[in-house]
Amino acid sequence: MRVSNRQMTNIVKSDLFKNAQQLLNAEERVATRKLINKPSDDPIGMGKVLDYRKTLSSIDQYNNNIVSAKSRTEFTDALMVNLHDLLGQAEQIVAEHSNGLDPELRQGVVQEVEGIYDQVLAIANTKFNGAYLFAGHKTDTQPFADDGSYNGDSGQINIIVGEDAQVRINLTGDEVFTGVGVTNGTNVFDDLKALKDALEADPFVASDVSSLADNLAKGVNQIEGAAVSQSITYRLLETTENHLDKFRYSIVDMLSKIEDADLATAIVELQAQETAYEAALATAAKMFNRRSLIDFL
Amino acid sequence: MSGIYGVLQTGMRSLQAQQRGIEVTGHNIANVNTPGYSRQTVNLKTTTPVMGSQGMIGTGVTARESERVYDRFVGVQIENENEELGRWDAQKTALERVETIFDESSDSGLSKTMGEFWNAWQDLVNNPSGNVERLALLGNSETLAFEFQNTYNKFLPLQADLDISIAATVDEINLKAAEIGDLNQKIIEAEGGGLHANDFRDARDMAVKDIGLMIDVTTYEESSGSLNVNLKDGSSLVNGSNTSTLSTMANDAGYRDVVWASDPTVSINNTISGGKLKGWIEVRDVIIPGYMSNLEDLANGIKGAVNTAHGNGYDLNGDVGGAFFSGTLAGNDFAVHADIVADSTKIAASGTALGAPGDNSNAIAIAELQNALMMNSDTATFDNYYNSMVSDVGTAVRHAGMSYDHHTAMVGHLENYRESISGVSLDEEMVNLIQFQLGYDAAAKLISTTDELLQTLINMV
Repeated sequence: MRVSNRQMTNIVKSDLFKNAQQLLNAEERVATRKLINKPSDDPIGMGKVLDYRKTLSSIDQYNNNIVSAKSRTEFTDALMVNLHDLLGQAEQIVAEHSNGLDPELRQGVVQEVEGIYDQVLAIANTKFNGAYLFAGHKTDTQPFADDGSYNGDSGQINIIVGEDAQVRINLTGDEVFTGVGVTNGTNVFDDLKALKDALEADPFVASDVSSLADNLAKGVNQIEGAAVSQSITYRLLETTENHLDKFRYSIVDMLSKIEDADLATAIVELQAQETAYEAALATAAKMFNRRSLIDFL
Repeated sequence: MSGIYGVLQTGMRSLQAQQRGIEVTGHNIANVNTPGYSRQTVNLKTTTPVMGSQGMIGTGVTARESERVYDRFVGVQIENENEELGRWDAQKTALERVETIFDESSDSGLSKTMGEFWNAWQDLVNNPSGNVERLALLGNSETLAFEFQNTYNKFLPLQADLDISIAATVDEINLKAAEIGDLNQKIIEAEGGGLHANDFRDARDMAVKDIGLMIDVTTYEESSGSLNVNLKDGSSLVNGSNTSTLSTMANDAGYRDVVWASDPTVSINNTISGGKLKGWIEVRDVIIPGYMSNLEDLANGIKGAVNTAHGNGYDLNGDVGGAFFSGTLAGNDFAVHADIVADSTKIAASGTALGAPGDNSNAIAIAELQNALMMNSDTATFDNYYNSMVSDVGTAVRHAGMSYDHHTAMVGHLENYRESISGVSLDEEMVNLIQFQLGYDAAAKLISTTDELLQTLINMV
């Protein structure tokens, strides 16, 4: 078959272009450390990459949600512990004075009960991050007035911990303090007020004091119940957090497998392409240095 | 004539013939790098013998018309492949530009912005009365609307660019067609006398190949030597030395359609199925509007879902939530509703009228929209929809790239085959040069020998 001069140049040119293009692609992969630099590099892979990235972003957001919920739950739990102690003190007062009250001690004991009442009130009106903890949805208004009446509502506050997965994180004033809607519930403020009245009463009626023991015990149970539910919530949040961590690991792994170029492999390939390109250049040069008939005539 | 004078004539004719051979060889050597050149060969034939007393006597050689070495079929094949090559070349480069609009390779892009929008709603869930969270959500929402609008708008300059390319190509086609008409005229005149218009034909072949890159045509050569060029629907572009001109007209979308200058209100876009024109028209009028419409569907989907959910909730003031997003991409006014921008307390996080500010149930409902199957007849989430759009673009670019590579290889093969038949080989021409030079020397020797014979004859007397 005849071979014309232009044939030789055409073949050389197209070879050089092909090699140069592959060299460029290999260089891009080394420079960006990514196998997929534009959607056309791997269209299906690109779709997966976007999916994984979105999942990671979601997981991080769920973790954020959980972290802030955990700190609130922990805080509330600590408050429950305090409340428990305070009511324990009130129970002890009842136990000590069920049979009689020394008139000289009366003032001190009444003051003690008043102190307990004030502290319980303070706890009931605690804020966390600028919002009242025990107000239900009415988080911007003080839930308990000085007389112990409840101004909040029974709203539940949830947070998002996963796809279509929510966890309730709040306790309402009713559930902890007024006992409305709680089985065997009692109004703690009313109980403390009654205790104070009974201790102040002149003449002193011991049975008024001793009869309060039951209610105070109910109050303690009520608070314990609230504390337990917060603990359960906390543990649920923690378990979810752990699951999310493990899940995150595997997603990062899968994302990396599709998207990232193994640096060692990419560099080796780059070397190979460089060699191929140099070989193409050398061949091209040889072809044109070749002697033709003109040299011999 | 016979005798010594006959030999003289033979010698002279040989000189002319060999010289003609060298001329043709010289022409080939000069055109070794000319694109589209077909090598020419000199046609040496013996002259008519004469009747002599000893029988038929040969009278030497004459150089007939030089011919070009050429395979007509390969030429047609190359022109056909060029049409596909032109189309996929145009489509590939245009789609590669579209691909950069969907740049998700770095850690930015519409996918991430959408994610941050939904995450901002979750931050609001965690603290529905928080001013910081509301402002952050507002910021992320505005960014989302901006990104959507921005991405949508990036298609428009691309379409305008393709529009300009189309108009420029139409002009070029007209130029080439005029060239072919011109060459037809010259070829008809030259070949009317029975000659071969070799160089004109080469030039005409080149012009036809160039036209094939731009628009798909069929060709037919008449016996007069004129090449008629028609568009695929049969309408005539070049007929003899007459050319019909193409032009453009503005279509409903504000872009240019190809028309015949003689009938400037009828678009012939539908008859074009090859060449660069096809590639550009396809991208400008079908592919890009497809992506723009998908983007609009996505934006409207998000707007509809968020607005509806927002309207089910109550803001910090206890009022029903108003529209969250307003406007459309096509109207260049897709944005967060002005009322919300002006006052972030109007973001309706609460599910009940009296639930503010602690009730976050509506914010939860809106945040969960990202997992809802709201696109593609309720089979895909917003992210699924967008991700498959990006995948589609990648696939389209890949497909165009592979077609382009395939047709480039085909054209390469065919061109090489054409070259092996019609291309100039310097080695070959060198041999021819020597060959004709020897022939010339020999003819000269013949003449000088005959001259000596004549001298001898004259001196005899």
